[in-house]
Amino acid sequence: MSNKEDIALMAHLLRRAGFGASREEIERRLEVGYDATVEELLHPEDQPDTDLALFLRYHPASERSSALPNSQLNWLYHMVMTQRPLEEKMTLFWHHVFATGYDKVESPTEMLDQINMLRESGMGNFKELLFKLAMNPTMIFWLDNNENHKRAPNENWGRELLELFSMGVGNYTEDDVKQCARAFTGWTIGYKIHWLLWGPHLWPFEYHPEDHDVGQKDFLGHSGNFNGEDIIEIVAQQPATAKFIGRHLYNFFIADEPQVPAWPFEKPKEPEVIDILTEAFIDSDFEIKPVLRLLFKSDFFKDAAFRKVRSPAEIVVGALKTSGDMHGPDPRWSAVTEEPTNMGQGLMNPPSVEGWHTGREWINSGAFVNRVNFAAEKVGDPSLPGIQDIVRRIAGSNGSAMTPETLVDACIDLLGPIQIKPETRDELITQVTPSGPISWSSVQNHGKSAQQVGDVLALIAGTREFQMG
Amino acid sequence: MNTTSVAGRTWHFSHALGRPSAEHNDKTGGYNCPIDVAATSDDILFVLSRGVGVNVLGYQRDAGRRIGKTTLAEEHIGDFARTHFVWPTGLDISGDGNVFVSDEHTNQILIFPPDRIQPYPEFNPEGEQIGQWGEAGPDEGQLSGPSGIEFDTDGNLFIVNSGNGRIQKFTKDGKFLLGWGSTGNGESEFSRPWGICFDRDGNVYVADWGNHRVQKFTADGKYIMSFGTSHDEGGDLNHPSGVAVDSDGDVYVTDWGHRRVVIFEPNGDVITSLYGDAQELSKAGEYIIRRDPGTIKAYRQVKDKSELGRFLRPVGIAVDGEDRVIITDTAGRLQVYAKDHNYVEPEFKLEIAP
Repeated sequence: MSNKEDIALMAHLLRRAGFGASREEIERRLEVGYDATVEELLHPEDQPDTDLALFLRYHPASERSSALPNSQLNWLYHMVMTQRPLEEKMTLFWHHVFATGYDKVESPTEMLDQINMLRESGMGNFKELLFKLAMNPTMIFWLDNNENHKRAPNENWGRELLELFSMGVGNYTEDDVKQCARAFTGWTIGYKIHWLLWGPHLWPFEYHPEDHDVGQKDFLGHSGNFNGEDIIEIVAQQPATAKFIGRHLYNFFIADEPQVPAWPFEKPKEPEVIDILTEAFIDSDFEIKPVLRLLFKSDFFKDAAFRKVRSPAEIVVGALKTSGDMHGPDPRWSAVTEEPTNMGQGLMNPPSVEGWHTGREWINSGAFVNRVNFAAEKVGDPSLPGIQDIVRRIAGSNGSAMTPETLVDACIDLLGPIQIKPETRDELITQVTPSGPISWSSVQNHGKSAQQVGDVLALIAGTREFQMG
Repeated sequence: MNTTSVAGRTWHFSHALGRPSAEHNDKTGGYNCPIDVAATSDDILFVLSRGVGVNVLGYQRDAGRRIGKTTLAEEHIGDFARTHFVWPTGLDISGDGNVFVSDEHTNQILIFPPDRIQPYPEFNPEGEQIGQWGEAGPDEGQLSGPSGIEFDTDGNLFIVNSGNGRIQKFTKDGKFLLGWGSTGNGESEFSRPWGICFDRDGNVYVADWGNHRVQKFTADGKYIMSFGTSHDEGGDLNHPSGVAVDSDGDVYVTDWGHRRVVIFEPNGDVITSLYGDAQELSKAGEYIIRRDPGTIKAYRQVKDKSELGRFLRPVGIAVDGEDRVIITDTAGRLQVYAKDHNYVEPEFKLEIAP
């Protein structure tokens, strides 16, 4: 029998390395063990892929669409249904780092194609990922590299590659930006055909050698006739790059950092942790899995539960996984797909190339109401299979009657367990007490009591602590 | 002209119809994930769209799910049945000309008159539908995820239950007549079956989507054979969705997973495959070019249009009385092929000077 600490730790791992899990899944994984679970998460190829054919049969508009919600639905479905949770979480991580948005790209099909690329390559080698990113038509258009010509360079991609995708501000010069841009001249897209003519089609990457600047470039202390591949090789070797990605990993998996634009001016909360991640990144020759393995097995990760504000995607997917709702094709997906957007995280459409502002900035009055309403609606519904399981566990372990205190504690435990402040617990008990003790002594009582459990779970979803993960 | 000539038979690509379109763009006819089609003897097509409604500012009640009516020559007549469906899947025309549609989410068969076109955006759905039947459930005579539907020559409606792998025959008023099948992968068992059709002898063909095959039965449900599982000569099917038979008995299967249409002999031997040839624009596409000169530049940039002509996901398929094959593609258009019964391969004679 696992103790409470083991359950809490496994729940923490599955929240961070995935989007949360039911108590049944937590218990099943505890049978395997923490380290073995980390290994399983690190090898998504050993688990079945999401049944895309089944999804597209019932949601045909989500394969190639001219409407963003259809592409968002495709990704959200993956997040909920995946048996490879870390693969999907890393896809979201890289979408945070390499933020690309529909507002400019205007092709949901291309946006989805970039997400698919991040899913396919997000747990491999960082250099290879950067290389695929540089050739990704969505990114090329997003940062104007299709306007980057030998005789008229455009520095947008070159600048963001250094500033936001690898090294960070303060680690290169303006001239490095210019040289970087020159090296990527001729990396473009073949055509950007209008979807109204033939339907949505993918834009092809093309390299135009006649438009490539073959002259010598002096870049970060290196000189040569560099092309884009050479630039990525040089960029990846910079210690600043490993440190920058290490800080992103810390911010995403361990604890909220200041927003990215502040990083040149504000020191990390735990610089020694970022140093450890940086060193691991360099030692692994930029393989991502070894860094993740070290991270998830570290004490600094294990001690970091509830130090992050959950993102809207984590709130939505977490509530669906806890409740067991939407487990397969369903007409209601269209409405659910709007939820992350309503909470401030329009997937595939971040506000700028800096990505979303995270941490406390996820929370404002409008977003908070939407977060609470959605989560409370799901976890408060005793007809849903995940909530039925919680009700069964509570009914089965507490005899014929329960005090309000016991009921609140059981719900806090089975929804996480959530780290909740004593004053919040007291407030929940105060709210629950007027309903009196609940009883499981008869079939009639059972239905009423199940709804009372749902009501308590919905109350917990409204607490400040529930927003943390 | 794109021509596929195999084993004494020839198929010419004829033309494309429509373009992906939300309702408010529907000046020349467009479709939103067209999922099924039926053709009448006077060259009228009814096209069922299974898309998602779009909330566009200024465009009220934009309908992704609707029935479009057009001529085979792409003279768009109009749309109707915009607000009636959740997951519309199968469409066919009854002997008296009404349009029957299955909804695999609500487990209903819905009936519409063929000529009550409702112009956008003033349409009023009240009274548009003239009938509806179906009882949800797994038992005999009940509907469980009704997908493909097809009227036989007696005017009875065959319905494929994708949810529990049953094929059932009803009168057009919904009275249950007979049924067979269950979930599984053996003979007369199905995994989420989809499309259905008959040959001229009344035999029944069912696209057994999850088992990657087509099963053939007598009209009363006796198993005859399966085909589509052979890897020889490209005959392996990947999630077949639709099936149709021409006047010669050749069987056309929309091979959804492989993005093609495979043509089989009546005995299941593979003849050839069609991959989509709609490189030239439909009339609806040409309308966009005329309306928006900015698209001309993009159009001219495309040097090789062969990829643009391919199927994305061919789904619904119909063969009309003249053996023209009409295929719906979830990319938002239809492609039409014509079968040539009298085609003669060009002969090239090598003239050798004496």
